[in-house]
Amino acid sequence: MTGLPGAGDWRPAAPPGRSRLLALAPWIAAAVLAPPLAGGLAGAVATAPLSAWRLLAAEPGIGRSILLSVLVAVAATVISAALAGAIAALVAARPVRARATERLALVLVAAPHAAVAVGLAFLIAPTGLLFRLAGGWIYTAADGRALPPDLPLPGDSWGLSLIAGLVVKEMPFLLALTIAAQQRVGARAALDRARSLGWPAASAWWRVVAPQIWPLLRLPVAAVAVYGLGTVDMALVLGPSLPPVLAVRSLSLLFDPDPARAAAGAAAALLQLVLAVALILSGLAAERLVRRGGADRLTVRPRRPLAPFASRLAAGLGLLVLAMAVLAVVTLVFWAGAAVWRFPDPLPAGWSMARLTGMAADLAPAARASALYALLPVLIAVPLALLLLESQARSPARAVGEGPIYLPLLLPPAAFLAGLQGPVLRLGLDGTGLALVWCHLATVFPYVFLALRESYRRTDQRPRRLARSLGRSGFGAWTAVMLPLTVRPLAVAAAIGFSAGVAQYLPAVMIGGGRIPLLATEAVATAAGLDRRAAAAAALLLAMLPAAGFLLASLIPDPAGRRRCR
Amino acid sequence: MTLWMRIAGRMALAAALSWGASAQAAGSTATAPQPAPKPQGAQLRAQTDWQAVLDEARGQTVRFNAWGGDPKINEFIERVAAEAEGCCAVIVEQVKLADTAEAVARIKAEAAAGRKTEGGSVDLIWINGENFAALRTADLLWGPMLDRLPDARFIDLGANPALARDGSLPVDGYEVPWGLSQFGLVYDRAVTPDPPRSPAALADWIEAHPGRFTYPAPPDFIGSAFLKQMLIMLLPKDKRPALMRPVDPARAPDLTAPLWAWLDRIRPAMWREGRAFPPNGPALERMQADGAVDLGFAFHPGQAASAIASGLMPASTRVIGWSGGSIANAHFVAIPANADAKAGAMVFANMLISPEIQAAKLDPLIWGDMTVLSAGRLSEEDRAVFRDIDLGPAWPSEEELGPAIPEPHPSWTDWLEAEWSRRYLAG
Repeated sequence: MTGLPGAGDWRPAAPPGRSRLLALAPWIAAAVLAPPLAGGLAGAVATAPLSAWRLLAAEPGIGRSILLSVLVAVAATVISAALAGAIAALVAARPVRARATERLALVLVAAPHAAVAVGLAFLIAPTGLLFRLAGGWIYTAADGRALPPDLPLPGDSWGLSLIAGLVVKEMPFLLALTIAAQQRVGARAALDRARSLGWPAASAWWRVVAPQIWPLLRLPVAAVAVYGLGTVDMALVLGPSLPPVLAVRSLSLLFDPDPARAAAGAAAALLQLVLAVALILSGLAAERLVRRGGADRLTVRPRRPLAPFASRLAAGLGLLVLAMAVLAVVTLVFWAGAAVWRFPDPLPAGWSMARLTGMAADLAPAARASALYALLPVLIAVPLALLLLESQARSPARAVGEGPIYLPLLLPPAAFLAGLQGPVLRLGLDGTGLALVWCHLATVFPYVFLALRESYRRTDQRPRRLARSLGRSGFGAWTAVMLPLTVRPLAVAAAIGFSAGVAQYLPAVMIGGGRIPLLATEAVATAAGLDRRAAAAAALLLAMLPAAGFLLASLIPDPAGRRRCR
Repeated sequence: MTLWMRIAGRMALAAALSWGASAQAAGSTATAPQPAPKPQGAQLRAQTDWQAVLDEARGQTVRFNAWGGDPKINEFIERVAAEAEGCCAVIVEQVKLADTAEAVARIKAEAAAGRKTEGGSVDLIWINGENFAALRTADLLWGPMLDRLPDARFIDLGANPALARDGSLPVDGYEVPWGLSQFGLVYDRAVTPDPPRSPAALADWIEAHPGRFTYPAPPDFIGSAFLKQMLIMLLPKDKRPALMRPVDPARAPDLTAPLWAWLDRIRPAMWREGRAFPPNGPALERMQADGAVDLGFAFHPGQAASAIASGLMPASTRVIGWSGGSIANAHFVAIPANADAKAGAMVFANMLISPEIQAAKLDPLIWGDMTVLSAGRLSEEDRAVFRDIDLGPAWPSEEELGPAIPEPHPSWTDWLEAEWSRRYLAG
């Protein structure tokens, strides 16, 4: 990976020689990010000939699988965004609460999807914690035994449990970003002004703040939709089984020993890509419609107090979802520490820390590798993202070409990696740290860039111009003014990128050849087994790395935000 | 150990050592054929051969790709790995897989990229059935090598058809068997004192206990095994031989009609009225441990014992075979053709079939997996090691486990899975 800027040698906004670096930035980014993407996409297309599509079309119930996937993705995204907005509106005028909510949300973002799914499944299943706490009230006692009711929870045929699971996991993600965004656009002042004009706070938030921060949230929301379309780990635990969603079918086909069926799996993965693009395009169309219809309404004073009521209701629901997420994680903690926890005991019959400590000792090398292979991509991604953003600031035309950056978020990872496997093997790069870092970088970079993009672009440029006029060099002004102003968004972006890197599982299996054992591969392997206690312990260990990252990021004060609060 | 337990243990040991013994003449274990004495020269050559393998293996790192879903099994592999490092300076790293198909796909991709004889990422793989067929038919396994392992002499390939044929294909020395499985029913004796062991009894039981039974959705291998087991039992004896031959698509619908009728009959009384199925075997085990259903399935007679020992299931959990015989198969390790540490992989494979390790593996507290070694080929001392293992009360007796019956021809697995999907998957 020569030619790649190292962690320290980028020089945005600098004398002529360095400006050339900025002009080259898009090309550098392309050179770093394109090979895995192009290779993966080309490989995926090549492995799915026409016969594969025919085989896929003949799969029983495939139409319903597709419909379910779309339904789940759309519903989960809309609900997550609406609830996140409602909570953000609720705390918008209270910086302390906003800060606490944001921290809680970030902790939940750190929890791995699969772990939350397992925790939630145990929470809502008829044999799960909620029903156990309800106890004899719910269980019928046939032949002296407590029998759970036979309810379709989780895994109902309409994917409602899966939608709930996705909302529990994605709502905190959007909430954290929404709170961060509204702090940056000065929501509190806007709300104060609106309220002085007689608007209820919730109405003012949705009509004044929401349109301002929507551009910052558009891409994260799209990422949530695409994740909902492609999720396998959550769908296996919470999703319907007759038939399962498209992503689950795609993966099981992709790993079929019969090459023809494996090709049909590649076709199914490409179909997911098509669906993702279609979802995003219809999202953009919907956005245009809303904007056209809503533009003039912004100037009108609301007559009916429906919005505040609806918003408060949604906020209540949202807080319930947050509570569910916390409970799901707490359930995992209980499982990890339980010696014996059998139905219908509401709490474990005994505790044992031996499994957790033993596992932590066993997994220490894997944890170190996980940290390394998530940190290295972040160390490349953050400077690269800054370089790209500075370059775009100089010449906005350069921003046009940034679309492909998000491709890894749109492509189902299994298809992308299956396509990449061939070229990597031919180059002899499989099993090398380089290939793994590169693959992780392809996924980590869009998250980092996404997390950083809007807040960086919207950072007040006046102090920096002032520093320049006072004689500072471009780079000097950047380090003296821009860096302190953006250090918190930078840290959060790095933490998000780190958590995305830690969660990566398939690259280690398919490109790493299993030669580099990571925490994620160990946790997924354990989750495939019978023992929920071991699975919970592994998942908790997996969650600790990103949680540490977010904790560090949240300790960094936000000078930009604090100045506005005063 | 009480006398009763000792007797139960002995009976279980007999079952474990003489797998399928009830199909053979009584007492055959005691008079199992001894290996023909080899000429002195051949033995000497075999010894020097093995010494060469040991020398080559010294310092090699073996990447053992193995399903990693059971902490108990992972621990066992780790223990054997530590021993391999101690005795032979072979370092064994378990690459824990969530699904063996991942490693099979990787080996195929490596071969497609031109790495056919070296440079592979897998040195040894835990494998059987369709994954073996996929690698063997593509000529991606290295061998034959079973005869080169000194401890293979304790395995009597003729004692059990599952040892010599893995699915549709003869093993031909390309795989090393290291465990035996037999499909059984897991139940709680305190809840279901008289478990249903035939399709008719099971259907009656399910209708009497609505919502308390389900099976993993095929193509999960436990789910597919359940379909095959029921099909065999539902067919009259004279029609069963058709299952040993490849599927004849013209006759298959007629032949399997009783199975679909039976499945349709139980469906409304199943868990969630048969509108949802657990995705795999461990998921069903978790449901049983949670009390969501009353019956589960096991491929290991020690499964109940180990689930009790680790506090997952009540102490009254038991395993029992199906009346008339249960499907049996073996699981193996194999060396991919492009493995780099072939000698090290052979050394580790040989350790896996050594009497000492096989005996440890039989212990339900360690794993509870049946041995592939034949009692008749073991020394008196080794037999005593096996005899001294406490199999515990949850291990089925020989009568309870019943005889082993061979799997249908593997083409039936694919056909049944596809037909099940056609009938059930669309909802």
